[in-house]
Amino acid sequence: MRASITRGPILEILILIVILAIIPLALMGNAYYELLAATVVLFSSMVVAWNIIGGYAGQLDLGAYAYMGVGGIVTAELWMKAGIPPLLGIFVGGAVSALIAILIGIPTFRFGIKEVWYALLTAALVVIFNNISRLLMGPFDYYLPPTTGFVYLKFNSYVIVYAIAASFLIIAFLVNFFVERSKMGYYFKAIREDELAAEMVGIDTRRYKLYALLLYSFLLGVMGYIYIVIAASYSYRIFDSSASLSIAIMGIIGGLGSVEGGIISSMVLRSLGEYFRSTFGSSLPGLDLLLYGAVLILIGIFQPEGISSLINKLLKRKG
Amino acid sequence: MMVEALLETKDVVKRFGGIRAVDGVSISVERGEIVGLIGPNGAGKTTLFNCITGTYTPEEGHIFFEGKEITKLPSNKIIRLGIARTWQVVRPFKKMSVIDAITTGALLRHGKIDEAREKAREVAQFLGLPEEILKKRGDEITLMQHKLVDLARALATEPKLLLIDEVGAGLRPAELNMMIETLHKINKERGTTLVVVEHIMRLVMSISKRVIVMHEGKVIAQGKPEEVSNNPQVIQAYLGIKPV
Amino acid sequence: MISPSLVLQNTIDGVFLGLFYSLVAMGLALIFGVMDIINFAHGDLLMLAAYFVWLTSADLSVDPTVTALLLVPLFFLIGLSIHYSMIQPVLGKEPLIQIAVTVGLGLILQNIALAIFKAEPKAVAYSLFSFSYSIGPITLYASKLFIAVVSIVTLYVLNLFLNRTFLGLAMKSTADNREVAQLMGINAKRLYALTFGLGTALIALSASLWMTFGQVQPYLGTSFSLISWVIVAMGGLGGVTGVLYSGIIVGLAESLGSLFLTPSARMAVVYIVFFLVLWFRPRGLFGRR
Ligand SMILES: Nc1ncnc2c1ncn2[C@@H]1O[C@H](COP(=O)(O)OP(=O)(O)OP(=O)(O)O)[C@@H](O)[C@H]1O
Ligand SMILES: [Mg+2]
Repeated sequence: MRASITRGPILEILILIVILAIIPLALMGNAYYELLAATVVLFSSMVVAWNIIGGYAGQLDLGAYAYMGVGGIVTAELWMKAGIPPLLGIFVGGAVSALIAILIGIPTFRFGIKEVWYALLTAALVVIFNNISRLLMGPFDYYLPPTTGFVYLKFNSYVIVYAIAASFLIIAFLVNFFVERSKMGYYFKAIREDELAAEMVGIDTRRYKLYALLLYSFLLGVMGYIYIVIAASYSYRIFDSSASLSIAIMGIIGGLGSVEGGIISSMVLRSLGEYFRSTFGSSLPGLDLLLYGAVLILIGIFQPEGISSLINKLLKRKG
Repeated sequence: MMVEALLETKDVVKRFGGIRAVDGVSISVERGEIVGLIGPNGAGKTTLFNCITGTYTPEEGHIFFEGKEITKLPSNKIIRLGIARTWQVVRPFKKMSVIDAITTGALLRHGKIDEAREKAREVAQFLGLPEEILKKRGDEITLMQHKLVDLARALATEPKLLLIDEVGAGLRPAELNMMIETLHKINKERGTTLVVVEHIMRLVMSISKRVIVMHEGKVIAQGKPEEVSNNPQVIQAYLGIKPV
Repeated sequence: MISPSLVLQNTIDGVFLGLFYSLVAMGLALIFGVMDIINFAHGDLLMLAAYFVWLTSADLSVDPTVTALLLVPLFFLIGLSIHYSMIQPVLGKEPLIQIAVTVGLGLILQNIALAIFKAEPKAVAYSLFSFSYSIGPITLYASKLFIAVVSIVTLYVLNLFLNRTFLGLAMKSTADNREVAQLMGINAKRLYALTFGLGTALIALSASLWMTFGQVQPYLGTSFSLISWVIVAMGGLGGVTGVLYSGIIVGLAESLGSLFLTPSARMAVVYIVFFLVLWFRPRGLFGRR
């Protein structure tokens, strides 16, 4: 029993690392593709972090880019205004995001309040931050200083930027792994399955939902700065409603509670989306989102447990 | 000195709009007994359970558990004190395996996953859930198994008092006999006090030494099963609702 | 500083806007109350209808309000077909799955609109109601006044429908208590389809009103979806009056917010009001539950 628990993550992590390491090799030094790969992998890490609140705890959070953006901007501003190096700053950014998230969670996680209000409030949060930051920052793009170095988490080589994004994916994956095998993981799932029944085995459902939110929003807040590094600049447009929505979309398509499903769906669909955007971007903008929408409907109707259960079924049939 | 009751309700009232679903109910349950709680549809039995477990907060009255007032406590605190329940309609954790669902219950008193799993296995075995069921998902098992899993999940929290709502409904005669035996066993071997809401008289009468009858939110009779079933008020309550 | 007459102007505009928002949200409130379906494509259906209004009123050279005669029945049918193809299969499923399917529908509608009509906003060139009265410092726009009046009348008729007709009562009692409604022998399947059709038809009416002064672009729906949901949340399933009052509150918050802060922050003000309501009155302002 003990052995299988320790063997599990090592094997899965190894597979993940090997895949993540092969990707840049396959790109053969093409900087554009390396940057794109970093974008996709960071997106994937956000989806994996979302799995904690959405997949395990079953709370439909649509505010990923609000937490991500706040964390990123706080980190960047701390560097530019106060000279605090981002390596430290990302943790402050994460903490600020978590604090805001908790403020949203406290009123909406009370027992017996419909799930949809939480979804709405988090969707609204992205709009609120978009509006407020536009008031505070104006319509300008802010560029990070050209300085590079590890303490700034900023490098000349895109491969290293990619490697940083990849390590965030691994961290998010590990957090999921340990959550799932902890008391918290059991409690999160119980809440997702039936909140009343969860209360009746003695779970303080509100407190545990807040734990899930805390983990998720902190992770996203920390990732925000890497998002800015990849984009090289930031503005109020970082608070992007439809991008925020797509995080939850990938989580649902992948299969709630399935980290592997989330990684597959986000990598495949986002890459496909980027391909559409670069090929048809001028003639058919939005083709990528059209694709997400169609897949979402099909999954919702025919395969509500996501592609992970589809894959499992196929494997079973073979085996 | 008087022996303190395990559970005591005093003039509990719970309204829904104009209906007084529970209307001044005072009952007391002694440690170790099996009490039957019966009454026609809509009598307020389930609502009373909901008040005791904190799902609803009663508008009036007080509820005591082991002498401590629990009337306004949140559910999770009440459960921690040692009350558990099952539902009229099963509420499984559909996408979790059966063993995981029971483990979730056991985690209340065993923080470590391994210990909780062990506890869950012990409870499952005690209730006669076969090993191969434990790996199945909550949406892959039969009604009887569902009822046992709900019971197991509740028992895994190691309650002193277990509130059971219509566990017999929908079961076949053979299954019903097994269920009766199981309830007896829970009470005898684990010392758990049971309050059993039931419409199936055979089940109530065969397990409880004492029966409480509710009608339109009020307690209209209580006593030994045979006394209660001959009580004219009780007969009328049942006949008034359902002319047989 | 801000003159009192400007405050009065914005208050009046806010109330008019709020009445219109109530009409937009009413379809959603009905669908959510009766069917317990979480529809995130509500605003996108309005966007679709608004493009229809724009097309037909230009083609037939009629006033946008006239297009309602054609579009309301058409959208009833569109509602039915959406119901049977996508909503029925996810009835009673987890909220997340319902949201997934309707978000998917919204994305498809948005991006089809983007592909066909491109991103530039479209407006109807002429409307019967594009004139205004001035009373002292206050300007009353005929279009906004007209919209407010039509919204109120429609909500009143809907209220009568819900309280006086068998179908309406069936909808109302299903929203109040699903089990009791089933005991009454209401055919839930048919009722759900009709509710979704009716809710969608109401959207077409809103769209034809909107186009007397507003513009349509592919992302118009997102803000309407969110606003409608805010109104439904605040209305607390309190029926037509709950929706009406919440709509007015939202309209006022938006209008006064853009006056006292800046127009670009008006949605933030609406959501902050929503947040406060959820914090202090989690069951809504006008709900019974
Ligand atoms: N959540 C609720 N909202 C409104 N009324 C309710 C609610 N729960 C119960 N009631 C009403 O309270 C009364 C008592 O219901 P309750 O479910 O407690 O009865 P019961 O004795 O358990 O009946 P049964 O044997 O049918 O389960 C009924 O009239 C019922 O309609
Ligand atoms: Mg009952």
